[in-house]
Amino acid sequence: MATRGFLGGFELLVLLALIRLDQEAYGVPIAAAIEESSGRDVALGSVYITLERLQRKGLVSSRLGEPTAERGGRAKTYFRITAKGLREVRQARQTLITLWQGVPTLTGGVA
Amino acid sequence: MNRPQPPAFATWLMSTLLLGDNAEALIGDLIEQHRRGRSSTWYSRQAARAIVTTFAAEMWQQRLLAIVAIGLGTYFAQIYMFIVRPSWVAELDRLWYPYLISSRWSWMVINPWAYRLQLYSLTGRAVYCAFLLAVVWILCRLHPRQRGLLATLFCVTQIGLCMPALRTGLTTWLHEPGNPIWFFSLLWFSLFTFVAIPFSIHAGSRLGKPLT
Repeated sequence: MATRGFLGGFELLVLLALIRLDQEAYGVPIAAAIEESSGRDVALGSVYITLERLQRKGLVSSRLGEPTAERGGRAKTYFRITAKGLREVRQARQTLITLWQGVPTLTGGVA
Repeated sequence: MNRPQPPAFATWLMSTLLLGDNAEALIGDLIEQHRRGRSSTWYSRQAARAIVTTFAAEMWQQRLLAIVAIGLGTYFAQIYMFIVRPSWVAELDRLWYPYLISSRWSWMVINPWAYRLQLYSLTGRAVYCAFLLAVVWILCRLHPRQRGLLATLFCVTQIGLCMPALRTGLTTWLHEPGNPIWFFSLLWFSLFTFVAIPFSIHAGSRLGKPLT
């Protein structure tokens, strides 16, 4: 059986945030979307490291925006999920659904 | 309306130390968040986390290059001694200070201020820094995308190697704090460690930037 790298938990969250944000996905809204849905504080540095890793895997593409005064003259980098990235997300979803179906109810303590 | 300015030191640290292709975008994001009401503490904490995490990620990504840089940095003094012969440095000394070699001890006694300035070690340290700059420049030309990683690793190893001598200098001075010789010895070596070496490495990495 061919070995293929699985998406990490945070990688999946970042990819899902990219899908939700579509054209407006850059560091700040991506981190905000993950914080909002997970209820945890997210470091922007971690978001960018993950995005760069996903980009190297070919799951994400990027484009440079215009520099603005609000950002101290620095440009935004917009990210977008690629077709390969979408396939990976679908695959991860399918894997999770299949695994969840075999899991009994999680209420109560550990058996 | 006056916009709140993010902590300048944290921004400078990020501009200097942040690694990765999206460093500028990350700094911009943090500035944007700060201007939207995030506190300066939040900004500084995010900056520190970003520097540490991007450095760790880059080191893991470029682990072979990182090992080479650490090895080269650790044995740099030996390489320097092998390539730049002490006799060459002595020749340079003779060029700018003719009395230095011939009457070293008498010169020190006659002119204690000259001794305190440690002029006798200036040429050697200048040549060491120039050699360091040249090696970092070559490495950065060979690996332009990893300039930040190389410069940081060289800086850490070089400063780390100076630590035992600094500790000796500090304890010697503390045993006899009134003696200006120990004080100046510690002062100049500290300047060499924390100013001259990082500056040489930084200059080498800046000069090693590919021309656009």
